Amino acid sequence: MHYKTRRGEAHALDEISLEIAQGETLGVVGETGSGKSTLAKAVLGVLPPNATVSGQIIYHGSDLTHLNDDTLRRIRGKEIALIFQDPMTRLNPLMTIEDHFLEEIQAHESISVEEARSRAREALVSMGIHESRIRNYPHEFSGGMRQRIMIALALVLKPFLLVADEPTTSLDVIVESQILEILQDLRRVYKMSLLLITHNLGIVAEVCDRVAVLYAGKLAELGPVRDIFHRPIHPYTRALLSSVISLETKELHSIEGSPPDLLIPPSGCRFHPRCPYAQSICKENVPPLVEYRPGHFAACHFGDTFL
Amino acid sequence: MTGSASGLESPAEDLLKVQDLLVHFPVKVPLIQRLISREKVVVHAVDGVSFSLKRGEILGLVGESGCGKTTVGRTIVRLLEPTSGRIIFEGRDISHLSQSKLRPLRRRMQIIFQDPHASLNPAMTIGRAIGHPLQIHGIVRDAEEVRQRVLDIMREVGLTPEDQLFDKYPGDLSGGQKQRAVIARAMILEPRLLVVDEGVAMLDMSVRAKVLELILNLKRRHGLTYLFITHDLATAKFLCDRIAIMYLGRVVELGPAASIYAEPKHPYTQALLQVIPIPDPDKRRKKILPRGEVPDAIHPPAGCRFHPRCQSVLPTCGWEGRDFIDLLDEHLSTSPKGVEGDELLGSIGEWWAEGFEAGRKTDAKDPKKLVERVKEILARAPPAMAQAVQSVEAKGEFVIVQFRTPDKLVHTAVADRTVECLLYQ
Repeated sequence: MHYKTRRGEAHALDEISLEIAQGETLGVVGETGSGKSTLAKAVLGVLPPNATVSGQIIYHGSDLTHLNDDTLRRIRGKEIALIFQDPMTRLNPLMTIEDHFLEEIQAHESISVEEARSRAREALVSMGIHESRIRNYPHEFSGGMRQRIMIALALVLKPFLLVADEPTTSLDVIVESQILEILQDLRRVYKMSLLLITHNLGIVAEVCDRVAVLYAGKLAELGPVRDIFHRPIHPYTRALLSSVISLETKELHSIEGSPPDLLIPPSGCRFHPRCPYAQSICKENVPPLVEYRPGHFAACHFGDTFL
Repeated sequence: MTGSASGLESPAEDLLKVQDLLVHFPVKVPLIQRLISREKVVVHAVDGVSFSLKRGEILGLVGESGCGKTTVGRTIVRLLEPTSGRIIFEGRDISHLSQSKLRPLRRRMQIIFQDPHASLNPAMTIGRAIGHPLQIHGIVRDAEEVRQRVLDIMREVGLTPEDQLFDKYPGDLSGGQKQRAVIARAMILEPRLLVVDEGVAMLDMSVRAKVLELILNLKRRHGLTYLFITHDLATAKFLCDRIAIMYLGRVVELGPAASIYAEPKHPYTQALLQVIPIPDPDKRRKKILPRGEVPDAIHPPAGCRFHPRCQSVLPTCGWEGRDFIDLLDEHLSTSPKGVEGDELLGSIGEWWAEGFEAGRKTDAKDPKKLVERVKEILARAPPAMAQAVQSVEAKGEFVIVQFRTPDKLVHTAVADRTVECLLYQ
């Protein structure tokens, strides 16, 4: 996945391979600019026109990158849904909540308005919002309610895969917990898969089954959530974990330097300029992604020594 | 910098005292509505907040968005005018000082905002931006001296190599560097008090630690006093000496950080602490979440403002008419259609709530039946709420639900802190 920019080609994502099983929650973590959001957009095929994608996005056996727009549109929204960080970017301020639902449902299913209305009300109530408010406009709701409305909209067609890009970042901690609980319930009930993109490692620890760690557009580490948190391999993952400020934090750790410019990514391992363990091989060769434990991969030349 | 160890300042003296601070914002209402109701519509952003800051202390002001913490911060540095209450800075009442008298004081109290990008003029080089306050306040006029001071402060906050970054524009800097520039710009005036409003919230975890370290270092080196405003309890725990927990314009708990985290007293503090995600997949747990969301601050709940969401709520906490309306609304929207007796209740729109009363006009021949139905619904309410009901009666053509008046809530000293909760009164 490359972006063409005025300053040249930005390698926003570089040879990422991920799988997500039915009913699974995969967390994608990384710093600003690591390519997390680009990944979400690529899955849905909603990248800006200056982006070029190579590789495949296989969904239920077919490659999404080769589908024509019509077919893709049919899948998008109905089978794969997306929720963003800021609900106001998704909700039209001039449309009532009911209009949003009707538009969404009728774009994908040929059912009567009456039936669509009752499904809309059902979806809204399942998010804990009173059905009498369905004729209200987005600005008449609080931030937490708008986010729940957006989730209700994404879920009204019962998608197989929900891509959630920082779904709770703009919310308060209590509302965040409420939303995460709702997402987990839905996953249990509908066997929905969830691709959860976040920078909050606490959330990842609480809800994800597996975790992918992105650094500068490359996959640094991928594995079961317990392995990632208790037995991380890649020095970047370790640094990221130790930089988390939690209630137990006694001293602060940070990662020296800042993420690289993706127009001119570092040679070899992209993390080498910030890595305390970097050797000359790290500057020269790109480390392959190696499976160190069942399902636990890392891309580091010295992965063995960190086991 | 000088002045940190000046003999005039005794360390025990309060640098800042805030007493019964009230900040209300008027709400624009249409003319017709204004004519009909004489009631003034205001947002009770800050509604009676008191605390003090000792020299060299970091006080955390913690709460969810909309609790008024930012308003407190802005009012203290007098970017906002308090509605009432007193702000005493270095022994002087500054609550209503004029802008011209405030200006010299602003050197001694600075504020840093959440978004470093929005705080820097994109058309001004970093060096000029940091040196600008020196010129505004007429402290240094010699250009070469300004430059030297800017370079010194840049080095101190870790904006290095300083001579290269001096001529850069904000757009060339990373988020962490921009926040350092904002801190440098505030520090160049050698303030005594720094209000930091969500100063690290927008930064990546990996750089957040560095900026927090800088904040601590500056405090040690210059004897700075901080008011650290944040929604992040983990960061506040690490950084702050004392913590004030705010909810809907009130401080509900205030005390030493360590003991608040070890044993939170106020049910709201307890709720906030248990929802913080723990970065350990082996420590997943079921959380008991408060119901609903923060109510709006135009009509804050009676009594304790947290009572409609509280897990430990008592009958005396402030149950009122609209709590009954909410209960009824929930009942009507969740119970299946055609339940016997529900037709008597009518629709939710026919009910009104005013203060500790809720009621409905009824044309039923036998209002007693409606009274009975209301009592049945109340029996299923949270016990504290049901016990707070004084009477359900038919009065002429009305059926009225009357709640008792709540007990008066006062800040109570509990162990080493103050708590505003009836459980401890």
